[in-house]
Amino acid sequence: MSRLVNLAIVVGGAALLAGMMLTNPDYNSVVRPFVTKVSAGDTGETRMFAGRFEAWRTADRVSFDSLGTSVTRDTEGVFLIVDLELSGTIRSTMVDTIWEGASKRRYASTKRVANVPRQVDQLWLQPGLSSTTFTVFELPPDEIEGGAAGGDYEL
Amino acid sequence: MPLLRRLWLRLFATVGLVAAVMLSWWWKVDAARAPDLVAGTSFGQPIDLGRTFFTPEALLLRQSEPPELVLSATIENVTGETQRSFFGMPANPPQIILDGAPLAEEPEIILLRDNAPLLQLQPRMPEEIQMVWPLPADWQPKPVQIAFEKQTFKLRDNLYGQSSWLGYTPVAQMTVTPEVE
Repeated sequence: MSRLVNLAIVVGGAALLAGMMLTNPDYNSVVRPFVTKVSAGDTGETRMFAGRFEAWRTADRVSFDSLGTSVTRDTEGVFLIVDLELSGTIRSTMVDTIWEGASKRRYASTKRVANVPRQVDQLWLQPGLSSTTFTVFELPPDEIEGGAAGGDYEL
Repeated sequence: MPLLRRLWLRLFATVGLVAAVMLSWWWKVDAARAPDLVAGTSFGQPIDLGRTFFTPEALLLRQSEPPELVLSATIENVTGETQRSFFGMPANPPQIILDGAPLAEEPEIILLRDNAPLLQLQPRMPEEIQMVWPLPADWQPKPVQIAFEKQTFKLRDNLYGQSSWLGYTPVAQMTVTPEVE
């Protein structure tokens, strides 16, 4: 009888541990950010900033003035330019933007277009003040349809 | 009865010990028998470096001051996100080996499209790049060995269970004489 009880304890313990091991969330899902999803045109508010997707357009070539010189950038894919309205919520922050493509790949805003006034990587968001800004992504054309813009609090 | 039991336990332990010794000895023999040969590669063949597929195209000697070794290549990000560390973190770009000694200098990586340093690689967007190594002033063209290492990806690592890029293993090497530009 006591042998049976011992066996039951061991089996029960093993089952419990296995269950804990299998249901334990992995590190990536434990430390991931809180995500707020909204449809285009609505204002999404997160803990550190709020934002609205205003408009988008594509271009094969982008020209801009950087530090006094005119720079032209071309691409194998397309440039996706997204207009955003952003504001801080509890304190001044900066925001990193990403485009989650149709294939769920994450495209960071391109560093090939930089130092342009009003571009999002230049912008300090202040609480209560909304700023119109834009961000530029470089991606294959088929990643645009079904994709989504996102922002990540930076500082 | 206790005697038999003790004998049995000792026998069991001895067999285990002998098995462990034999196994480690056999591993040593096996390692010595088949030395790790890194596969050779040639221009135009893509090499899997983990985060990127790297296709070397040409090796040139640019006779500037100081002379420079220029490796033209196509590089494609095969991960699901934009990469800033295309050769891993810490960076482990293809290694140039001159007369058996690895070149210590870090290469400059130029995005040919912009003629500017490569800052990011977007997924599914292969780019043509040039990697530029400075050479000693009196260097003359001779066969150069290029070694490529692949970084290992683990979806759940043993420490935190997070996805990690871990160590490097040699995957390919090639020996070429640079063409004088």
